[in-house]
Amino acid sequence: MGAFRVFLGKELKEAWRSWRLPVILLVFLLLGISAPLIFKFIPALVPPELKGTLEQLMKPSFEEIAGSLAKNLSQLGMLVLILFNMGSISEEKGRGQLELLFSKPVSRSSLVLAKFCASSLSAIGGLFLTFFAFYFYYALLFPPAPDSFRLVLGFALFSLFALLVISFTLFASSLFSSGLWAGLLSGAFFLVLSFLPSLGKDFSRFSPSGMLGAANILMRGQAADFLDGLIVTAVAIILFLVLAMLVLERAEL
Amino acid sequence: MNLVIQTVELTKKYGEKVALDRLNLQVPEGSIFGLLGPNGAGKTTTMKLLLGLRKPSSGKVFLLGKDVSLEPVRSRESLGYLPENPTFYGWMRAREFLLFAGSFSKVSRKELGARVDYLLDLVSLRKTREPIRNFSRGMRQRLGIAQALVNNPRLLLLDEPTSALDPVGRREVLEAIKSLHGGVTVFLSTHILGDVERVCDTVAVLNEGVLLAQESISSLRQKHSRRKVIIETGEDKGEFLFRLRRSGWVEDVQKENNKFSFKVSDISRCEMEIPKILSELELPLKRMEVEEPNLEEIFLEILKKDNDGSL
Repeated sequence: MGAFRVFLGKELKEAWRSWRLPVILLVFLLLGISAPLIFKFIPALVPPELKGTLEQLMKPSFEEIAGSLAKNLSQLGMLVLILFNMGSISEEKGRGQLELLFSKPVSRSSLVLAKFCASSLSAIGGLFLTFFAFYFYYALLFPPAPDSFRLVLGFALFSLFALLVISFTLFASSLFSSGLWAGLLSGAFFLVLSFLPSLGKDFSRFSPSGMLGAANILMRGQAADFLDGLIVTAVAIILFLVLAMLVLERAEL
Repeated sequence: MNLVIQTVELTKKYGEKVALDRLNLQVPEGSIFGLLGPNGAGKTTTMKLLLGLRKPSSGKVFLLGKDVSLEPVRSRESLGYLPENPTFYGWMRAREFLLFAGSFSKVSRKELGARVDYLLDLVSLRKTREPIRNFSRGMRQRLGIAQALVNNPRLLLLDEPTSALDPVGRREVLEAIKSLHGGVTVFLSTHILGDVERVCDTVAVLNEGVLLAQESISSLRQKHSRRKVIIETGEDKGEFLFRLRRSGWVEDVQKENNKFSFKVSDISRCEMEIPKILSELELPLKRMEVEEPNLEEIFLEILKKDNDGSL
């Protein structure tokens, strides 16, 4: 526990000093703000002859705006998480920093766990800002305020998916000594994950991206089953974390 | 004898290549132990196997009585390590890094703060405020030494500790290592023979992964090297030179005027025989000097014997 606490402190401090944490928070904040803002102000910026077509394309209903937020989060948001985590272990390994660190009386797993917790905290913090900003701007620009329960549910499911992206990226990062390869592998994993629901009803039901689809539907106010996807996602998070620990435990430094 | 490092038939293979071949090291407590060897001899591999940073292909490592493969974390509790090229978190400052490194030991926050200040003074980094990324190589090496000492270790492992330092820095580091003698066991790997001669009391010689020798420097001197003898006599018409060359117990005989130099492995025999020969030849002995061999000569001789297959 002692080493984990020290590592967690170091990770959070590093994320802040290297601007990683402020940038993540800012990106997620902008994602939350952008959806209601775009729907409110884009129609005002287009020429009058295009207004009719645009109004048909961008109906400013809660469903449309929440759908746009969900799409941005599941693409841009997750890509940002991959980019900021792909070098987390690999670069420290490549630079030789882990050699010095692991000569101390610490277990290698505690570092993986600390990195996961620090990244998860930033991602969850970022997602909280996203949903809070979305709620606030939606209520301001398209009153009345939306159903906050729907948004809380969306926040929870997106957070779980973000943890999966982080745990896989950390696993990929533990495999290589270069962040680039870890990023490519994580990107490929994310792409495969996105295509899983299109392979059939069962794939959609049991896949983490199916769970994200359900989150999208729930946020729009409709009913959706997400429990199977949630369980698979939770198991996958633990699996990739354990794999990352095993890989690092066996790594020759 | 209390051993702080013990390896038993320690072997490391990379594919077909044997980097370390059945190494049996025994490092006594309180010693300053030098691991000598040319580049590629297996010194860094040994260091990393001792620390558990690499897994042995076979064999065992015991650090401070603990089996490294069974108790990897506990075996490093009273240990400090300086890698050959220490790499830190560039965004941290020296004090911050030492506090971070020291947080893994069971020292109170207050004690750790005082220890860190003492070490910053010791390595002349107390007044440095800039982040580590701006440090010179020498400053990084000094910080590396400080972080290795931050937990008050019983055993210090130093991989080529002076290789990056200028002569002044080198002298300071060697003095610091010397001052640890008795209290802390120091195990250092190097290819700089002068450093070993200055600070170490025991050495091991490694070549191509094979341990060629392991003993105190004084016994190594006696065992492995021939001493150089310089003799000055009265006018010699070649008879003394002839007798020396024929004797069979001297090597590399050189003559310059009436000054003879040669190497002997048995100095007591030389001290008995030389006056006898000179007396028979009725030559006066004006001067006789015995030069102690330096470590470089011993080292080269051991490697030469190894290459000849005569070791």
